[in-house]
Amino acid sequence: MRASLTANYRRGRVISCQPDGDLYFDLELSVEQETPAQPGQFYLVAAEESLDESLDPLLKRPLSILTSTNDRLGFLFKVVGRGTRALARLDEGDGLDLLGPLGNPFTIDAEPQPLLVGGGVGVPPLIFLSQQLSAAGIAHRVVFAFGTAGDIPKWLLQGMENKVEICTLDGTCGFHGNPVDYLAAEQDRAPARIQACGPGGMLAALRGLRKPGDEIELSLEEHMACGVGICRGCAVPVKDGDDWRYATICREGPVFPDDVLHHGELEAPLTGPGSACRCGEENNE
Amino acid sequence: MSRIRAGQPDLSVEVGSLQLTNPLCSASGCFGYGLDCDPLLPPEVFGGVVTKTVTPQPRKGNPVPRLRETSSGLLNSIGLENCGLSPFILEKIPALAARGIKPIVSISAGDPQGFADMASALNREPVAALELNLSCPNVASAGANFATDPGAVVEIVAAVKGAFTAGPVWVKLTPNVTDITAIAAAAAAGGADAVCAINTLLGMDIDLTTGRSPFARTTAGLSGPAIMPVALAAVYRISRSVEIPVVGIGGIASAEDVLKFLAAGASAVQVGTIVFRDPTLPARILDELAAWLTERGCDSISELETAWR
Ligand SMILES: Cc1cc2nc3c(=O)[nH]c(=O)nc-3n(C[C@H](O)[C@H](O)[C@H](O)COP(=O)(O)OP(=O)(O)OC[C@H]3O[C@@H](n4cnc5c(N)ncnc54)[C@H](O)[C@@H]3O)c2cc1C
Ligand SMILES: Cc1cc2nc3c(=O)[nH]c(=O)nc-3n(C[C@H](O)[C@H](O)[C@H](O)COP(=O)(O)O)c2cc1C
Ligand code: FES
Repeated sequence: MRASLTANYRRGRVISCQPDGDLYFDLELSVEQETPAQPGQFYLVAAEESLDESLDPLLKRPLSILTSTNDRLGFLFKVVGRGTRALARLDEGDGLDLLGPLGNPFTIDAEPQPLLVGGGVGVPPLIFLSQQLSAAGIAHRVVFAFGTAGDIPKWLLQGMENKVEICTLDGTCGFHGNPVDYLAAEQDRAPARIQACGPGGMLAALRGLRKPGDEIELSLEEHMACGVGICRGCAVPVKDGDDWRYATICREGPVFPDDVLHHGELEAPLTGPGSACRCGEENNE
Repeated sequence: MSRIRAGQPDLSVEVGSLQLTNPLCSASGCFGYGLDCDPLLPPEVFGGVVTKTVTPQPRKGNPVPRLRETSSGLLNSIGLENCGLSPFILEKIPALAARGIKPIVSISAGDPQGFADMASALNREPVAALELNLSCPNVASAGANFATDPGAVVEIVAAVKGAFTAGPVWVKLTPNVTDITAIAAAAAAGGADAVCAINTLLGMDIDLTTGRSPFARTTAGLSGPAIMPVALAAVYRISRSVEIPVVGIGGIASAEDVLKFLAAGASAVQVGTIVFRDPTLPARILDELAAWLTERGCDSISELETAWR
């Protein structure tokens, strides 16, 4: 069922780590050895000194691959907590621990025509995907959503301005609203391969747009520890015959065809943190 | 991959009757079934491979979120997700055997008979030892934890010892008790060949957007470097209160940490959470351990005492 692990553990060096727009940071690294990567795959990333000295932050953080060429790797991230704050403090020449490339990529195919839908930190893998689709001569659409115009990583989108259809939640740029409302307005949209990454609510709502002939691939996120399937931390319910089971997002995803996901008895299928509390049963593994 | 090389110190240790090529074992639940991280972290690196706790039937585990990081620590609420005993015996053990590895099999069940049945099924298999994970709800007494009840510990260990003769039986202890040495004594009284300390500490987080715990089961298990001083004290106290060997677990992240556990009284150690941070670390820890011994003129772990004299 699961391919053997091809990821490598290696060191990287920061070439640059700079703010791009009001919300995001562009991180460019040089790595010792090139490993071909595909759009949708990710790395676990941490500042090297956190292992050698403080062990805090303890674990690496998953970041989608934005660019992967020769001995260079690029990421785009948003500061949300301690791990990403530590990454934002990196300077040129600083060392990084990297594990990857991990996970399974998006499908690259012309039929049905790809429709890339990204929200917030879900944008980087889709920029990579769009570049690969263009390189393969595959016509496709790109819809990206941000909170407000100031958030848009302009440097990053350079050269893609004409391609990307922008939505902002506050209407300061492009369509006023979320990408689901934007696409819902298209009554006669041709069948598409919807390839999406972004907030859980957006992914769940996108499923509601499915038309006959559509195929949907969703890239999911969850807190991760190991990134290789051994801790079972990043679980998502998938169909398993008549039953369901938890798959690991790091090893069996992060990209899943929507058909394999089990949306049955889930309280909050693709939503983020903060699910309801239940009993107080002790859980000491 | 034997790590005994010419001119290199001998890292082998004994945990009672069980010989290990080095003192570093994988901790249950942090290395899958032994081959899941291969070839990034081959099981041969470890002196002993402790597999994810298996239960009589498969378990789906808990809903997400299952993880939260804390200061130098990790909260987990995996919920003992595992494939169940039959697939474990049919698929996981043979895969390890094909590599020449006899795992130390962690098991858990809802009552003493359940433990004994698992033990007798495993008695015919190529396994090195059993590790009893008693930190699971007791079905008969509405969720009370076996691991905190000395009477239940004696009963379970005795039942397992009656059913399993293929190797030693280790008992893994929870730190979430008033006196861990009392539970260690109960394990010894039941006939345990070694005790392993510690399992995760009871912990919790609050999600400030809801004012509640992010975990469906409210509390979770804390592991990682943050718990090492607690584990070290437990190993020190247990090793001075029972005759059987102690396997140290909790927050180990370096060769120095391993040495501290050995000095505190452990015969061997297990590494868990730190493997998630860096899967290449176990091999580096062993190299550093060898270097440390060489620097102090010790040819083997058994000569460590001379370094501290
Ligand atoms: C496969 C994958 C690819 C990703 N790619 C990118 C990327 O390209 N760019 C980017 O900015 N981020 C990406 N993320 C999310 C990123 O990993 C998290 O934002 C990061 O781990 C947060 O770490 P922290 O220590 O800063 O925050 P924490 O202190 O761990 O958390 C801060 C807040 O963020 C929430 N959070 C943290 N991690 C996640 C997560 N994985 N899913 C949902 N909520 C989370 C927490 O609940 C909390 O509210 C990706 C995640 C995954 C699983
Ligand atoms: C994700 C995770 C899963 C675990 N699963 C198990 C388990 O199935 N059985 C068990 O006995 N201990 C389990 N543990 C506990 C570890 O084996 C170990 O006792 C504990 O994590 C302390 O060691 P560490 O700080 O090196 O991780 C688990 C720990 C973690 C972090
Ligand atoms: S992060 Fe450990 S299983 Fe996915």
